[in-house]
Amino acid sequence: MRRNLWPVWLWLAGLAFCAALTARAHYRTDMGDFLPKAHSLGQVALEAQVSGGGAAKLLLAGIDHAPAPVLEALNKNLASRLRQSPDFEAVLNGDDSSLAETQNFIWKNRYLLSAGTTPQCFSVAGLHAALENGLALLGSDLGGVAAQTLPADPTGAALGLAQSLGSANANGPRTENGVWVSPTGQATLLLLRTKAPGFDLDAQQRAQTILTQAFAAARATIPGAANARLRMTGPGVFAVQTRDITKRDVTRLSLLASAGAVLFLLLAYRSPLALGLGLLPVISGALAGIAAVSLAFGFVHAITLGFGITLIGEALDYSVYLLTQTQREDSAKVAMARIWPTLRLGALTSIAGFAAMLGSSFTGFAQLGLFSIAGLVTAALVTRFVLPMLLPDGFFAPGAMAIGAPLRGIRHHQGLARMGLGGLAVLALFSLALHRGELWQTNLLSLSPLPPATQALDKTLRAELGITTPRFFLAWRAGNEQGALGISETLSPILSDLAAKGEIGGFSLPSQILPSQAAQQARRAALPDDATLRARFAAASSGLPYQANAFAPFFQDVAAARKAPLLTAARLPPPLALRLHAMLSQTKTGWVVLAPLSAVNGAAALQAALPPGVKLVDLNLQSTLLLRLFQHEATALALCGGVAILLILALFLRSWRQVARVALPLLAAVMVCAAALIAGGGKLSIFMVAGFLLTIAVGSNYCLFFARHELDKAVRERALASIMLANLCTVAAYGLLSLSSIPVLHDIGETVALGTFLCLLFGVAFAAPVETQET
Amino acid sequence: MRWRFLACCGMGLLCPLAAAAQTAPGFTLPGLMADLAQVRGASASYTETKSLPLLTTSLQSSGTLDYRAPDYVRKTTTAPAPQNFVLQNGIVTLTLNGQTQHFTLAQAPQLAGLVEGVRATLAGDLPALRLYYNLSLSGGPEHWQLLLHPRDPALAKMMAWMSITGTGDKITEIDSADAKGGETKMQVRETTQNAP
Repeated sequence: MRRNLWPVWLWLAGLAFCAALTARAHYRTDMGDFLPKAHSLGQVALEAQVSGGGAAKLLLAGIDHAPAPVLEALNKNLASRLRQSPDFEAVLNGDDSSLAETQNFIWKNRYLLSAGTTPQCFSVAGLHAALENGLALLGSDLGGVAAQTLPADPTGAALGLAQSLGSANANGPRTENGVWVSPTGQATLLLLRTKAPGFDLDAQQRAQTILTQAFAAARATIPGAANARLRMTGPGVFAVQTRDITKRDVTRLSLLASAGAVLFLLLAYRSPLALGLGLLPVISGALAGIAAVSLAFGFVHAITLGFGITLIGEALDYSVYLLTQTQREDSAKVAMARIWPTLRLGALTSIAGFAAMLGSSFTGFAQLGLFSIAGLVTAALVTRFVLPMLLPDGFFAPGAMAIGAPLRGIRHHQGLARMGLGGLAVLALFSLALHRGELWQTNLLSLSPLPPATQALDKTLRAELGITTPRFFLAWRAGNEQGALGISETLSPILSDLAAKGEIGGFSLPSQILPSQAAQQARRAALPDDATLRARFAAASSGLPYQANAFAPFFQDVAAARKAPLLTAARLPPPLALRLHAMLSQTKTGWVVLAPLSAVNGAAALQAALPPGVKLVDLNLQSTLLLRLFQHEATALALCGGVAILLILALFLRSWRQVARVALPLLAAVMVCAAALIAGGGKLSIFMVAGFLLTIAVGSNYCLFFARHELDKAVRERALASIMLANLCTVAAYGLLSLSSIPVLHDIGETVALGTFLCLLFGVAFAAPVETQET
Repeated sequence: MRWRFLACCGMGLLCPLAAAAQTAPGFTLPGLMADLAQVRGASASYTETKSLPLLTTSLQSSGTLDYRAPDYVRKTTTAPAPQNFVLQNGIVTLTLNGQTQHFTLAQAPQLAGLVEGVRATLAGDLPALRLYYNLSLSGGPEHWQLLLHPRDPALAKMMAWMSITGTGDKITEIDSADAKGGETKMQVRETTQNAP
């Protein structure tokens, strides 16, 4: 028998192409990539917070479970080991030497750093005013400080810097014996910055391993430290954990879930070959989905992958319908010709449903939509054109009829089933209508695949290290680093003025840590040469009770500062570099600055004073806006998907009666499912909404098959069996997915397992024509 | 920051080393501390004289002191320029030239040493004093002098010694010297005392 094998060759070629794309695709795990593309500065700020942004290289570590002296020793030992590692740019633990390094840096470079370094400051009048002020200071309670620094710094450059640079440290951890300790004193703390960028997950993982090993080594050398524990968090830790958990759950649970489905299929087909062939549409669909997303978006998000493969799990049903409905007497091709109109309509309704997701502004959902559509189209085509050719002649599923028995039972008592299920639907409708409180999950973090314990630890360590997320930021962009710093410098006097008026609390600006090159040059030029300075100083100090030679260090330091090189980001000591990079970061399109404000009392006055291009960002507002968008989209997705499905059904069935017969049981099933999920104590997540879409996509196939008028009893019973088998596989697979700790897999698993089962029940009770008499 | 830790030198402690090296029979440090601990609050006026190697003349200032057991101390300078120093619950608030600054003792161990020297003496808190200082007491109940030498070298860089002189449970003079030769003498005249 000659066969025209071109569909098989075409399929194999397409498969090879998709496999090649899949192997080369970029996979990302960053939550920021799942969220809407950031356009406004406010969104940029929010994304930076969600994904770690400028802080992506930070590692936060806490050591606990040992007596305080042991914890201190461990901390110091660990820090000294890490300082020798080339993988860390900065190792901060509150030790005196780091503090001294920073203080030294500020002291040495005080004239370049201080905005007070102006020609006026070094005029006779300026120096005289400074010396008089110094005299007042010496007599004050700050006299002790002043006496130490005045001889080298009569103009008070360093004192001003201590105030502007020190203020941001006020929330920092408390130091005990040269080590940061948590407020409760139960843990000592470290703050690390890796050399590798935050997105290089392998390097991040290596840094974390080095940290863990160094801790183990430190613990081994310190007596009494055997029970001590190291805990770490930070964007890099999160990213690595996300990757690992996703990998583990997606592979293991998906395998397990597949195994559950495979078991039922084997029972029905009793043929490993048929089983293998039956999986081809799903596998082809998954590869096509990854390839399509990778081509369209340039990368595939890990959540898309995990979720998408479950979404096209529907494709497994296609082969189930074909294989189960193939009868002993006819070939697969004949069976396919018979069921194709129904299968095609089922696939089209699903695609219409998922198409709604394409329009989502959440990159992740748009990816999911594309993934599902590409996957389902491929799977349907493979089932239609390739599978019948590959199935051996004379194949049929011997075990299928037994599986269909329960549905036949329900059909025999359809009246009773309709009453019971109808009552259930009414109950669900009431419970949803009367539900008080929030239906939707509104916590962005609930989307994150990290376990709640990990998120809680991060919150704790951040609070203990004083890394708070301010609510308000000033944000601006610039083409280069110097431009960004220049804007920062124009803002400085404006903000000082507003702070003095009480319109804002404190503020931090990147130019306080690293002034622009232009500002530094101007400051250096403001320093007079030695002879001029001495002459002016003599004039300025006449009549004041200072000892003649008291200010020799001042002349020395000014002479040195005139020759000192300008400061660059690379020359900053680690603690200052850390703070600079938290504010100033380079993006693909330029430089972005996020300068925190500690309080905003007069937003209007602030807005009015800001130069164009500088925006006030309220992080709370941004996050509320995002959540609103998210809820809005969830509802819109569900509605658009639902309407699209109805339209497709109407177009093909051409009878409102028939449409209602297919659609109403689905609606009832989804309602009961939603009511059950909410009654279970949860809120609806965006993943559940997608789960409803999938439920409807899968369930519509059931109902379409149920609604067919089959005159032949054997064909009808095979159809029932195929639906039952399809549902068993779905419930087994998704039921197992609901065991996952990853919210996306858990939510989708729970929703789809319950939802499709309800679709089965409602479908057989309401969609199937009433059996008046046996034919 | 270093300059902040020093911020308190001026708390005004100053003084002379009166040097009776011996105490009267029956007069002990724990006994004196117990007496001081009985005082629930006190107010005083003071005059302070500061001599610094940097200057050719000494600087005078005056104002009032308030103490409430166990951890509230306020020093208000009225002349030559107004300023305010308040220690409460471990937080120092300093108002100078119209600017207010806060320091937490917990974040600045050396500042804590300086402030605790006076606070713990007023409160009769011997363990707290011994945490920061080596102590020696001389004289008798009618005229005693408590000498404080910092134990922590970092603290010693800011203060060479502190001497607190008193009569009974009243403090009459607080003197101190920094490591660079500056000295402060503060004469205290108690105006009211609220014993329990």
